[in-house]
Amino acid sequence: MMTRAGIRRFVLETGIVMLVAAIIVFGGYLVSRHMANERLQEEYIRDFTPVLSAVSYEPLHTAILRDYPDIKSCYLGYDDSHNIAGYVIDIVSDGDNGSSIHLLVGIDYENSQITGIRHVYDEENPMISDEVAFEAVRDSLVGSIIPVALSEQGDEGTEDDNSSVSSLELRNGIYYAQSMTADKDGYIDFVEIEVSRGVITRIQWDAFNIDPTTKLRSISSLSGAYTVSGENWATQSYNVCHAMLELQSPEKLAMKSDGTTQLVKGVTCNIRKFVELAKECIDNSKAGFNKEEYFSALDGIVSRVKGKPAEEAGIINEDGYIVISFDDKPEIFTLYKDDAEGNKKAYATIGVRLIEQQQEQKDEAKDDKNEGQDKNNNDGKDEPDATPTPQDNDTEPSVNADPGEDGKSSDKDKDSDLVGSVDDLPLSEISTFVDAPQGYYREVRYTARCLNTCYKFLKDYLNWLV
Amino acid sequence: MTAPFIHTEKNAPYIYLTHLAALMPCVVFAVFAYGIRAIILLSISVAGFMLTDIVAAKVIRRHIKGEYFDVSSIVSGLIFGLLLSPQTPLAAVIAGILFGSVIVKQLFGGAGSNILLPATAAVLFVQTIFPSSFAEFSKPLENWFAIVNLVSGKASVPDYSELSYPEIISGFAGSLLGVSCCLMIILGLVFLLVKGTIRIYAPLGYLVTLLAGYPLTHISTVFTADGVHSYILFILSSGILFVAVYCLGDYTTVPSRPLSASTAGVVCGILTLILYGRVPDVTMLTAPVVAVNFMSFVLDYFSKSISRRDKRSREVDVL
Repeated sequence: MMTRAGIRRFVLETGIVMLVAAIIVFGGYLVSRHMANERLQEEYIRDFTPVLSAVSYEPLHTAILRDYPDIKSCYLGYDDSHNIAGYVIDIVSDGDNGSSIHLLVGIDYENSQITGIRHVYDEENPMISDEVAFEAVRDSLVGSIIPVALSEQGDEGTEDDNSSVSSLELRNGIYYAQSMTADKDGYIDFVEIEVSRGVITRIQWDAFNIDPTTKLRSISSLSGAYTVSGENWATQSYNVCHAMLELQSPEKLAMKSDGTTQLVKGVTCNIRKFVELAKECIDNSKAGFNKEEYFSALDGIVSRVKGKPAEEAGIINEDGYIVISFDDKPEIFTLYKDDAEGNKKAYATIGVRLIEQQQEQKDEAKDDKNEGQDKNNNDGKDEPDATPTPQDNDTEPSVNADPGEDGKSSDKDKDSDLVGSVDDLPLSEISTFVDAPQGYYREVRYTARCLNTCYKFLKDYLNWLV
Repeated sequence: MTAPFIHTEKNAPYIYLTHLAALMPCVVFAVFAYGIRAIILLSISVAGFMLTDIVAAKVIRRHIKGEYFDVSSIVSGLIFGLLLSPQTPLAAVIAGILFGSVIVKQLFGGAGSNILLPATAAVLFVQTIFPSSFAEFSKPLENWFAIVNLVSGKASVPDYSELSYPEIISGFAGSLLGVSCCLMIILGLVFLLVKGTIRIYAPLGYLVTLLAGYPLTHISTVFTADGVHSYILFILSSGILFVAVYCLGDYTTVPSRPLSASTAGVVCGILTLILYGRVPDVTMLTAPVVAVNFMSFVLDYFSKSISRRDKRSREVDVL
């Protein structure tokens, strides 16, 4: 039998053994962790350097990954200063006919550029089975900024494939429209849009003042000199522009008869001017009437009204805008038609492009008339017709005489909803439009889908703002 | 009782207590490396062995002296638990406990009378009935709080090929719960040697056979870099050290005399070499021990002088 002292000694000895064991285990853990990390880094560098050049890599542990089952893992790449150089994302995406694609995607931290794509050939039924095809796909996508979309519909594209944007009628360029009249505060609204690959990628809505000492409305609202109910006007303007970037159509903003909208959160101001001018910009884009041409045409109108160009008239402000309001000459931008009693009644307003177009047609008609008069030796004077009349144009006036149901989107744009997104991303968010190499549309399409999944994950993880 | 009496403190409870203490380093490693799964598996193993031993002894109506506390149940439970894979399903653990405790131990007379080591027999039983339990091994230090594996039995397979020697020595190669850290096993061995409660002949015979036999059986590859790596991995992390110290060092089931014990160790080593690479690792470790357990009485019998072969005195010869 063990004595009590013997038991105490035994317990003490056992405790010492366990303590020694714990120290050895922990020491071994530290040593082996270091070795394991080195080995792991060697593996990472071997596997990841082709897609993202970095000094070291670390796996990213975030619960957000659970929302993206296609993404198997994500790694952070660090440069020699231990700053984040970018991300390496391990993604497997299913394709058609039971095929799949397993990629390692490198994404630059600074500008979200795709630094490299590596195909991990471990799929049971690989979507891209040969090296040449993958190289073609990779070359078309590396260097792009995510998210990406295909710029053209491929021959192999399916009916439900909504990645193409070629069906839009907009022409690339910068388009501009400004209000013909100033508001009660003297502000003249203007909207500028930029179209790339047939998609509106940038919108600005602001207003300059007929008083040259007054700053832009956005600046004034931020400084408190211009106030509206709710958020400041600059924020509301930004929200409206952002909403339209997503919707790609001012009609989808569901403007109510009082000029407000409930569709866009945080917008309580009157957006009628914005909607009108955005429509005009879109019409201008469809007609290829860019910003330079607009200013040139507006300058022509100013010349006719004031007898001299805008610059000579001193109405170009320091930001380069032509500051003119046609409040006292509504006939310039208003369309009239005779009612039942024979009185002229305004039914629509038109923008600078149509004004200029009508002027050209009138000039042509005048020339024809003069030629006819010369032929007939007619000495009668030609009275100028100051009132524009509806012309037989292909393009509708920029203001719709039938505004549709109050506060609801117009039905005619519903069909274009599909065109407005790629992989559940609004077209306005697409940063790069790529051309698929001949014969590889399907492969590029699915690879692009992987890249867009990476984008959505990073957007969620980094809480990116669009 | 009649004279003569043996005056020694190294009675059965003491021997088992030292073995229990010697197992503690492996327990520490298992918990550190595999976390809550190790705690659950070891707790269930120990508690299960204790409970079934008590219940079975009462059912069989075997008389237990009041002063005797059967520590062997705890030791058996720990050895069994440490020989399990970290993701062994609990159903398999319970089946192993019932087999080891009731069939192997109690039906043969309980502590000190069992022919086979209950823990190794139970592990072999689990491997036979639930082969998937040992099909894959979790990586150490991953998912410390994961217990899903205990239900599903699924785990990732660690890659041993590029492990560094510090990792192998530290036991982080990944294997059964408590057998991969050679440092812990050596610490336990040192403790047993200091306490004088281990018969060293069988473990020595076993290890010498394996150390010498492995290169002979892998003559074509052992002199390459990969071959040396595999050899060291086999010696340090495969579990043969654990088997040598805790299974072949057992007083009850391994021959007691130096010659027979050494022979048992050599036979066990040869069987291990034969099985290596041909059966799952856990079978390679435990089946030879079970085989040697069966041979123990025969080996002991023939190692005695002819005049003493009719006497029943295994323990007295050594102590």
